[in-house]
Amino acid sequence: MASISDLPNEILDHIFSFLKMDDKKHAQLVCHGWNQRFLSPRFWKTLTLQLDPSRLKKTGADALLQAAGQGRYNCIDILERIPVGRNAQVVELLEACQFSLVELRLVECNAGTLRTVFGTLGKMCRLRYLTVETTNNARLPKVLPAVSGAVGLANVTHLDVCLNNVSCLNLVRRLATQLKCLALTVTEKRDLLVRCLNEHHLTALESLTVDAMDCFVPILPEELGDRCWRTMAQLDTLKYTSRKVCIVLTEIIRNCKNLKELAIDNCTVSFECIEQICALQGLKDLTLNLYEMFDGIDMDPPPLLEIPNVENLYLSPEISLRLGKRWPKLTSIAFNTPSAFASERAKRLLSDITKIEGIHERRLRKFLLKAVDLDREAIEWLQTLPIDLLTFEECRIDGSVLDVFTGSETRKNIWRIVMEECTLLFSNEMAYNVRTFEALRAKCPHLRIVNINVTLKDCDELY
Amino acid sequence: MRTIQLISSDNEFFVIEEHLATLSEHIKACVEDADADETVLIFLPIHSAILSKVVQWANIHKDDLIPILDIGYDSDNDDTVEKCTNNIDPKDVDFLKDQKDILMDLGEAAVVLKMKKLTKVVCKTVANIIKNSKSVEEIRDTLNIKCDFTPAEEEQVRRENGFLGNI
Repeated sequence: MASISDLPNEILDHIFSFLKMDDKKHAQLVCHGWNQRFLSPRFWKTLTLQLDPSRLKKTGADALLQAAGQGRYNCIDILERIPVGRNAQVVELLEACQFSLVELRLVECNAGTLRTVFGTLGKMCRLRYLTVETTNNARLPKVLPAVSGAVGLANVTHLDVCLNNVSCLNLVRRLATQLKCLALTVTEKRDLLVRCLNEHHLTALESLTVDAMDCFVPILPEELGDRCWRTMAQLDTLKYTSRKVCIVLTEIIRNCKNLKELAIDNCTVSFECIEQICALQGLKDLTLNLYEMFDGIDMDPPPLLEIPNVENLYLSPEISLRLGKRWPKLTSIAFNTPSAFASERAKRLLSDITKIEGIHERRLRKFLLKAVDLDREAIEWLQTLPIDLLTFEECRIDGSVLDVFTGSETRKNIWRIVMEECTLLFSNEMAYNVRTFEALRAKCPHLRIVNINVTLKDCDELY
Repeated sequence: MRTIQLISSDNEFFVIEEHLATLSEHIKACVEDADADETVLIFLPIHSAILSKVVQWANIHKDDLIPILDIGYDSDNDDTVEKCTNNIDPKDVDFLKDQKDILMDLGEAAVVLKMKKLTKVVCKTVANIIKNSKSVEEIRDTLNIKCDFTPAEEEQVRRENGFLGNI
């Protein structure tokens, strides 16, 4: 008979990963072997130290420092305003982890803390991910010690920063040649974004995220220059969130010729922008969460979306789009319709999907429909497609089509169906009762139902 | 038709259906290159008592639409669901209920055969045993572990492990 000590360490770590802190305290006392696992770097990698003012009260701080000396935190979050008197402890703690710290997040810290923390960052020789989240109330101090210093930060490749004063620009400039991923949040100071993109050629950059939701004045293509376009041309990933009309996006995408992943959120774009997206031959993941199009819905026929290399497609049918027939690599599709207005379009897109060349011969890995109204016709389209996992979330489904799911064709094509938070509509003619579900479950082991609302339309009697 | 035969460490033969191959990366790799009508023999360092249990487990999950077991709601990416131990398939709970003695052997076999799903089930079950134990002694007793700490060492760990509570 084997004992638990015969299992490889990886399995032991796997088992421990399911435990809560109190259980871990117990488990550590069981034997030498187990104690060792809790001191291994692999175990520490899974932990994040969340530092907020309450953690730094007198007794807590000593214990934390002891912990930092014992194990080696890989990831530390510093949250909220640390009282001035406690900054020294924060520094002490960070310095205890100077050889292990890989990820540091500073969330809504005040200027004093930021200045002290940046003063010690030069010593964090393995730091790779740096996040500085600040809103209007908490700004980066004008001068950041580590930024002006010549040493340290050599390994930082991921930077997430909110652009709210010039010192953020300096931070980006300081790291310009080594950054691989840059996420910028723009406040009302849109000029900083323009300067940030124009002033530096970020030679190593692969991924750019721009969140310009709080930026009221749109950026115009004329404002961006050569350096910016050069940076864009080397990007793998672009994520862009903006408020309403976004003319500059067309120009940006025209220049991002090597994109593999594109996500556009909340923008209003032109038909031309969609044409530019279709020209991106290397694109693998596409998310279009668009608000509307400004070329006018009735004037032109809706643009046709067709990109040969896309594998994952996420669409919000709010806008009037049609899907072309050539999507040879498409394996995962999601539709999210935030308004009832879009449901008709979602249905049209569904019928477009069934017309894609060769779609019936290959298997789709995932198909997710969120907040779509589905009638019999739509369900019948769906059941012809070979799908591994079909998910309905917050959908409204005509109750009379439930029999389609039990049909042999559905069972042959679709391996598993999950319905979550859906509403089923039943009318009077249908003899609905609780047993319908029991029968359905018995018949379809592949159907999983979570939190269903049942609405009985024009029913005299509720079961 | 292709036949797959597993041979245990004490030379017993188990003829298995192809669906078991999809549950085990190891068997899958062995079968991959074989012709459609070939008989594949796989020698395993697993005792027949355990191997028969593994085959029995695989049979329980025969109708589970195996290829998609690892996607969806119990997907590996979802940390909150992933770290939960009360979501073990009732069929597995039943199966493992009276198997405490050979739980670790099953775990070992699952590692050898590279059966992700079975490994996970065993790990969660062991985690539950640890969770449900009231004291350190109880964990040692149930899992049959010998305490190799001297009292002084144990005291030291106890003193130092205050830090785990502070994370």
